[in-house]
Amino acid sequence: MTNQPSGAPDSSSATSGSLRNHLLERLERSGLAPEVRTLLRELLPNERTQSSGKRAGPVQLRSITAAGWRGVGPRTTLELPPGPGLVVVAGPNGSGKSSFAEAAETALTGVNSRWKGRRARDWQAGWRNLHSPDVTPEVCVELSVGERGERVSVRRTWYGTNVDEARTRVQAEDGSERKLEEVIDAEALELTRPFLPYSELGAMINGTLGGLHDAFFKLLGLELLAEFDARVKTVVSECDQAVKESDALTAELLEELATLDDSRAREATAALSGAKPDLARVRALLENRTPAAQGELARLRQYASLAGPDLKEVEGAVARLREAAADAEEARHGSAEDARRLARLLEAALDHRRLSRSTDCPVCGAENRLDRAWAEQARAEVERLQMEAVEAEAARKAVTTSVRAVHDLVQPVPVWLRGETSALASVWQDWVVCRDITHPRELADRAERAAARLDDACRQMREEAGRRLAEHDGAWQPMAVRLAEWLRVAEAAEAARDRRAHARKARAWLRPIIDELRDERLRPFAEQSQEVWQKLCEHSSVTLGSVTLAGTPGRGRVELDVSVDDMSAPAYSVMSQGELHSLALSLFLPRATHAASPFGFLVIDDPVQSMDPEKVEGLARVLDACARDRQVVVFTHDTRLQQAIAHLGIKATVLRVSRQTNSVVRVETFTDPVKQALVEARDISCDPNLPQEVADHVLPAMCRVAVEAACLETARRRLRDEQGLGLKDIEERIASLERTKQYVSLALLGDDRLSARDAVERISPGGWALIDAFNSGAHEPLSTVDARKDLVARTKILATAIRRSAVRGAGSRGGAR
Amino acid sequence: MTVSPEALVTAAGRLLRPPAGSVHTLAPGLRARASAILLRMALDQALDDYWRRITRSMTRIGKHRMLCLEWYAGSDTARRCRTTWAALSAACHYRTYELPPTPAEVGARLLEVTALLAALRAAPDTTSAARSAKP
Repeated sequence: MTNQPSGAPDSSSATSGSLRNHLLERLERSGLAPEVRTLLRELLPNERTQSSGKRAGPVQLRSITAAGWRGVGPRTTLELPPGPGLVVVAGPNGSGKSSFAEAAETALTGVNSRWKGRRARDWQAGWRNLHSPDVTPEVCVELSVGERGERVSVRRTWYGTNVDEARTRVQAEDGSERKLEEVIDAEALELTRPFLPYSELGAMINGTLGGLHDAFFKLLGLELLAEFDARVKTVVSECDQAVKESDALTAELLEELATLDDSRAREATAALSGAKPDLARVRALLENRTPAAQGELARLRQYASLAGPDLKEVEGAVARLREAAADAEEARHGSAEDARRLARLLEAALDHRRLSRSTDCPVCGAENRLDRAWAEQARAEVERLQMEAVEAEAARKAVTTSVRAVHDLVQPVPVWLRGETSALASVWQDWVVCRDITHPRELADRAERAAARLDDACRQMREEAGRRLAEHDGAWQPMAVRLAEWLRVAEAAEAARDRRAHARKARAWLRPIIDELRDERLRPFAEQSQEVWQKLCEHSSVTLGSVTLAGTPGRGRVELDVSVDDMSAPAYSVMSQGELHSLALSLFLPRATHAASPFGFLVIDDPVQSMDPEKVEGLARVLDACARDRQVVVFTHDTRLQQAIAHLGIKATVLRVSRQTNSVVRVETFTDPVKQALVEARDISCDPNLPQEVADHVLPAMCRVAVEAACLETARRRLRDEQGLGLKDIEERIASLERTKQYVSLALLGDDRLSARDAVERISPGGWALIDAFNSGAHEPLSTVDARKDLVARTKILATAIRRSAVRGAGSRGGAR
Repeated sequence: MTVSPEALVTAAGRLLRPPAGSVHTLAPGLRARASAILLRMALDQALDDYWRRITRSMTRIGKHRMLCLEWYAGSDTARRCRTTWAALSAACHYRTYELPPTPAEVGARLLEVTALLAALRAAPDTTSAARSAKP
């Protein structure tokens, strides 16, 4: 369409740079909780760097060639006129028109939409032309690429029998190899697909139009939104997953805990079974900090580590005590005191004898008793007695030591056992009592007995406690591991729960914004669709209201507000086939003619079928509007489009395709804008009943139209091929033309400011005067039919000469002509 | 025969959408075709009137008259005339194996003819005629 929506074109590239900022800005103003905003900021994707920088320039078609391909046998080229304009490729069914349409699509995209979907195998098997097995199958499009209108050919040749066994070669005019992606932007090819094959025309309006939705979404520069939404959605589902996992694990654990008779298990059950599991309690439980578990466990542990008397030591001490006691008893008979006393007496007697020098006994008075022999005997006795006294002393000391040693071995009742009235406590008490016994023999007996009994009790207690502890931990330990694992999951789930709440809020916030932005950006497209629809189905009872995108990206749909006599209805059910085709076109055109599209052409295969005459007229108008700034190539077997074009006076080139035997296909120009104008002028010139004043007014004008049309085509060709100008520059130059002579100058000299007089005279003598004669009043009166015919004939010569000049100059291969 | 083109259009309209209660013996297809004939007559007459204001004796060849019209009444009016005229001609011809026009289709043409009559009555407008000459 010529009137590109003003909002949409730059939205895909230019304003999407601000889409992120726009979202951030709205986020600041949103009044959402800070956590939600943080989450959104964190999820907001970065602007993807647009590939527009290296995007290949605008692309137009120069020609389409096919060989050994479908209906086309020997190599045939469909030459297209330069510049924007409508080209109708007409031909009867089976003439090979569609083969060209498919050839163009296949060469550029590598696939053909007919190969997808149902009956694909038949199509895939039948791609090769049957009549020309010796021709290497090939499809080729020649393109004008970029700002310089560079001539590039994209050729796909097959080396095998399979439709996939092909290679594509891209070649510049100078023969240098190019890369396809430098020439054709693959993404754009998908987004703003310039091909509308017949198979798609009918199948486009299916249930959801999901593909169209996604294409629109990208076209409108909303990918960022789609990704953003997807990320938030992912967070929600991830969190859901975490919470679900945790819940499942809780249920599982509760079941397992129920089978366990353990205070900790009970504790854990209590912690887990609330509406919200008490994580802190479980954490404490795992670290053994719960009061209940602590008391019992501590007691068991104490019992388990209970240390009674050391029996060996006690036995040794008791043995030593007994020995000492025996020694002491033996020593008691000549007790140490007596021995010492007697020794002291004897010593005193000896001293007396030595001092008194008397041998008489001072005690009994007997004489000469204390003689020498006595003295010696007495001295020996003193020594013996003294020794005996020392021994007795030692024995007594040893008993004392031994008693103390035994006493020392007696431990007091452990603090934690005191106040208990267990058997162990009383046994221990017996043992403690031993401390107060000083009588060695009694002590030895009692201590020996008490120690043995205590030791026995302790061992029993220890074993019992150990057993219980082991039993306890044996069941608990794996559960503790599970609980620890649960704790981790539950902690994650708790975090996830919060995050999920935030993400849900974020999504709720984001959703209307996405809808708003996309509706805003889609509006121009929707309006265009409605416009196209109205042109096509002006008087249909079916009206197309709004076109909106609904659903979420990836699962989106295009919603069509279709109503029949003001009652809304689903498009698919109320529309006739012709209306469905019209609808498909209404949706296809705004997308394919999007300003971001690098394709300066559209290829539409047979849109006319099943349209009624009015729709065909509408179609012709719609195509004409598109053709103002694009090459529109329409394939049709229906002559009604040509009729409508002729009646509506739409400038168009009609190529006729005919197929002879053995798939020899010929393409010829049936009519073009020059021919159209000339034919009309000639018709008028032959009418003898046409009054002279009308002829004078009309014929020169008609002839001028023919010459200007010839100039336009020639100028486009010359500027493109000789001056290397791009589509935009060429159309700018052409739009500035006003006078016929400017047209001629641009066509012949490539510059509308120069005078083309000499150039015109060179290629067509008398041509300059003819151009002057188009000025009404400047020509001979056209009173006779002959004069009129002569004017038209001279015009034809001039127009032909003008067109030839560029064709010759460019050395065009002219395969079609 | 001095029926105005507008009267013909009204008659065509009545034929196409008979007033409620009237009994009609003709099938809708036939009525549509008859209505198309009336509409073409209306358009022809409007063109006659138009050309009479330009020249004393305009050619009778319909196509030529409409091709020339472009340079007097402007391209849009002329092309619409031609399209409508061609469509009406197709609709009023009776061809054995072709379906008669649908009332809806002829109804649409009726609106178009009404608009054209207004346009032709306003013309000849020499300013909207052909682009002013320019050598």
